[in-house]
Amino acid sequence: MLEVINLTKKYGDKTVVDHLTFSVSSGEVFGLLGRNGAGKTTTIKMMLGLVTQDVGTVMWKNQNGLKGASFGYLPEERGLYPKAKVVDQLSYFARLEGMNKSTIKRSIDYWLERFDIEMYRNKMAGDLSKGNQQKVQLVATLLHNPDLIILDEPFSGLDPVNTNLLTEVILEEKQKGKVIIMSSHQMEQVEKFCKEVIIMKDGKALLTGELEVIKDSYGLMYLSLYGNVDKLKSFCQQQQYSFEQEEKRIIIPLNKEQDPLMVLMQLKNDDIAVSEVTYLQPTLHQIFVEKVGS
Amino acid sequence: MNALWTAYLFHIREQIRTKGFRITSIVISLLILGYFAYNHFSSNEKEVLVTVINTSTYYSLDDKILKENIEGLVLHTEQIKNEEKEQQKIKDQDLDHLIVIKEKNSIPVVNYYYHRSPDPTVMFAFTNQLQQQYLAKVSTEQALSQEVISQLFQTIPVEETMLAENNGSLGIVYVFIFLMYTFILMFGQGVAMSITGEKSTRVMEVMITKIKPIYMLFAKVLSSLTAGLIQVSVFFLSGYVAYLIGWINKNQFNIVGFDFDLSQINAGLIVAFVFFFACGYLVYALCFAALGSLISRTEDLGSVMGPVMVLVVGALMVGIKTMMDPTGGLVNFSTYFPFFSPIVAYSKFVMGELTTLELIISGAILVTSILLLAIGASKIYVKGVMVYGEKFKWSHLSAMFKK
Repeated sequence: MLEVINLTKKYGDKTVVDHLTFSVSSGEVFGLLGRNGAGKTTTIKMMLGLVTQDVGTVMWKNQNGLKGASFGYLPEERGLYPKAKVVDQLSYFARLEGMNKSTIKRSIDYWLERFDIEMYRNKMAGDLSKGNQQKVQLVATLLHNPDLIILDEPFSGLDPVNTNLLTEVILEEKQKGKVIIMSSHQMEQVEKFCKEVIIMKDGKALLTGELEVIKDSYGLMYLSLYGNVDKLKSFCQQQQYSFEQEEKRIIIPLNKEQDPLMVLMQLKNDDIAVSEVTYLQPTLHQIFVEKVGS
Repeated sequence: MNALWTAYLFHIREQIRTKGFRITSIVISLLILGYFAYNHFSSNEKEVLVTVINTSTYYSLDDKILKENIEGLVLHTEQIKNEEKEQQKIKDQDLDHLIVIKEKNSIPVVNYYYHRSPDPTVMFAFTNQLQQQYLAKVSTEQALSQEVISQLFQTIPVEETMLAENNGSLGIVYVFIFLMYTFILMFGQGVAMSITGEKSTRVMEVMITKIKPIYMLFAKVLSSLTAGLIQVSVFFLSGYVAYLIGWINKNQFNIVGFDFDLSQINAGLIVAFVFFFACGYLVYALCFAALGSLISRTEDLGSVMGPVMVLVVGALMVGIKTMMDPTGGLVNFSTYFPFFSPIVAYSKFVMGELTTLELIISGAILVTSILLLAIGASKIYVKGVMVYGEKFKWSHLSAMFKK
């Protein structure tokens, strides 16, 4: 289990990470969310010991720091030797992780095939596309079978096919009982496998906890209505409902006290036909934009 | 230590595999072999083209004696008095020397024409013959006795004795200074560029989670030193090949005019060479590594390396001064100044101007300085590699020591 307790970092007068606390258990993926400059990468760097925190502790399996941990780190920007062959630098990274020759070969073969980049084994990393470099970087992160996996923007530069491939891999690692921390702007992906998230703004945790609980406690539900958009818009204006239009759909945010059936009754009374009605939980994207957008 | 060894092996492999390393090795070999081949073949075929226009009635030249005194002499005697045509030949470099002999009041007068530099050997050979003839003429005219004439022509015997232990060492010193300077610039700067490159490509962020920064620092410095020594070996091996082929005459071997006495090369000289070369390289490589870690972009390297470059050039200048005056005040001070002592102390050692005590003190100061530099460079490196974006200021250095 990984515990981050009261982590704080200041640069001059500016507090970039402000008393951040969370924990992640085995077999869980934890989402570290926030806009650019919110303090996510600094938090990760403090966890890894790349940046020294002013206050706070990182505990791994009840031990202080990550020194004894086997972890894999995928940095936000590519961290490869551009003029070294893919296979050479992967072997180098693996050796530094204490792996022996035969395990290294097996592991490199497996992961290059898994990410479908076997053909680039003897290419210089700098000659690969951004997406393929990202996949090589992911192999470097995972090839020594770490217990703790820290991924900073792992979907950056990946096309939809590779995004699905990485999603599968992350789910597999989750199944194996790994502790996974992920920073991402792709909320759809985060929703797929994060049980708990933290949403940061200006170094502070705005929301933290289980995603489902956050959504329940968010206070808003969304009533999606499909029908004559003009009639629906004038209805909302008449009833003083705030709304958003998404193509031929009108979405009305409702708080917990507002009964969606009441809205439907009002529509019926006004004789406005609706062909499809959906009552939705807020998406992580909506919560994120609502909380950190301003 | 296992991580240090792993990192060292990775970096040395990567350096040796680069095209740049292989091309440099080939260029070094070709340059060395080319230099000796040129010297060998050009010296065999070198001709000295001299035209003589003799308008005097009394004085004449003995071609045989001239050819004995001037190696490769091709003498052409012009009967017609066409000086201008011969001078034009010199300007066009079709002729090396023009000697015009005239006579004024029975005294020989010589006009000597050359392209850019006079050749004292040529001038002496001609004037000496004329001088002798003039002396003989005057002696006869003055009716001097044979005994007096013999005394006048008596050559003053000169016995040369060199008191320094050897003089054939200047070539060795020259080669060492040249190699030291070239490899510090090439590989020392390579270390700085490599570290800055790791920062700019962000590979440093990954590496620091896997290996202690101090190991990374020494892996880079030592792998570059190894690569440097490999290329020094290529340099000497190429020279040895030239020797085996027969392009080096071991009795008359010189490097750009400095005698190189091959018989002087022994185990002590080689051990000292490796020691001072390695120490000199380490002094500068550690500085370059520390400075390389302070900046995030390779284009900023120039702004931080200035002071070290000044020291490198200073070492070269003092090295040249050592060849001319190995016991001067500046040279004596530099024998113990760690940024200059690798070049100066080794040069003095080869020239036989360094006592054992001086050698020990200089070596001890050098090794201690390297240890202190290693500690300082590690402190800067460990902090520097994680500093991104900020423009480098020299005040950052002191802050890094305080932290």
